[in-house]
Amino acid sequence: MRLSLLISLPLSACAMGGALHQATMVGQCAETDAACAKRHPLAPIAIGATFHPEVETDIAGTSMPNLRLESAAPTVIAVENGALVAKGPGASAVMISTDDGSVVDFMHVWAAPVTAISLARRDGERVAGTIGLAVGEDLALVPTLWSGTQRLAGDLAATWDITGDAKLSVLPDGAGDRRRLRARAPGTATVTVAIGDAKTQLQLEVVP
Amino acid sequence: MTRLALSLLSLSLSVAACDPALTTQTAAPPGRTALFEDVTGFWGTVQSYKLEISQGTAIAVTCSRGGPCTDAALTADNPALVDARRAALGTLVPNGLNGNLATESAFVIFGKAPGTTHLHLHAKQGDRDIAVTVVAQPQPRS
Repeated sequence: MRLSLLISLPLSACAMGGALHQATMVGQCAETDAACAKRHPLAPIAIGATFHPEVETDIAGTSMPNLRLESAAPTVIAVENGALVAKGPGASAVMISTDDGSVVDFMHVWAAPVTAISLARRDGERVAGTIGLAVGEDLALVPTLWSGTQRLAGDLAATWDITGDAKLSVLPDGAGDRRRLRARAPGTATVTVAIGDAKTQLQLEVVP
Repeated sequence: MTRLALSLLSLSLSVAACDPALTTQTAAPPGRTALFEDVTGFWGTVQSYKLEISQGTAIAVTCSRGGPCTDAALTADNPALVDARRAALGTLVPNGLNGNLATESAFVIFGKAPGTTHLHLHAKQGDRDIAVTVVAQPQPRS
């Protein structure tokens, strides 16, 4: 019994990597981007979303070879320009291979539909209800995608809509689906973020 | 006549027993199948293998016979249903009876579309057939 526990601990510590324990695949996120939903551990990718993976190998006696990705079921997970694109619900093995086609490792990647959206600040803190802003102030928001209780990974274009008498600008900041709201004139506004049938709203009050 | 039949039986058993052995190294993901089984003859020796695997699922198998298989290739009758790639495992295993080691010989097999087909292993140590059934992905519960 004790022996089995001792054996199971190191094995479970390696469970985040590929099936052959020679490679890991995580999302390309800045160290300071706490809201990045694409970090370790790899979550299911939202259907329609693109996931930009960062692959690393750990093989004794060699630096990382030049690697390429191949999907077993492209109707579920496709590989397009080095990124993973979720096409339909299910799971697909993604092979991590060298240039000559030798598989170094593989990982089963899941895809799921978006059923809900929430909003978070750049530091990862979830926001809801009403937020107050002063004129000239910025607020960076990131949509977080969910399938039931499961958080999803990947970049998926959302529509941003603002209604109300406050003047606000929605500015892309070049990082995936993150947006920067700039308060320009006092009043109240409702921000609606939608992806397909899933949407969420946030109330804003802009003061002079 | 009986002696000849027994000799032929003995020869066929020894040949079957000396072909490479394939061993599964990875598990199926949750809710998916990757069942790799021996197909044995009357005396319990492995004649061939059969694999039931889900669409989109991959497993790794190693090939050995007294050491890692050499010059091994695994080809599919219908690569649209199932396919295989050589795997580069950075592990050493015993090779021969003198305590030497060699890099393990392995393949990754993955199901692509539902249906039945065969994979054929050809190695310096011998050949093996794998009867493959690829089953469709289960539909998510609504």
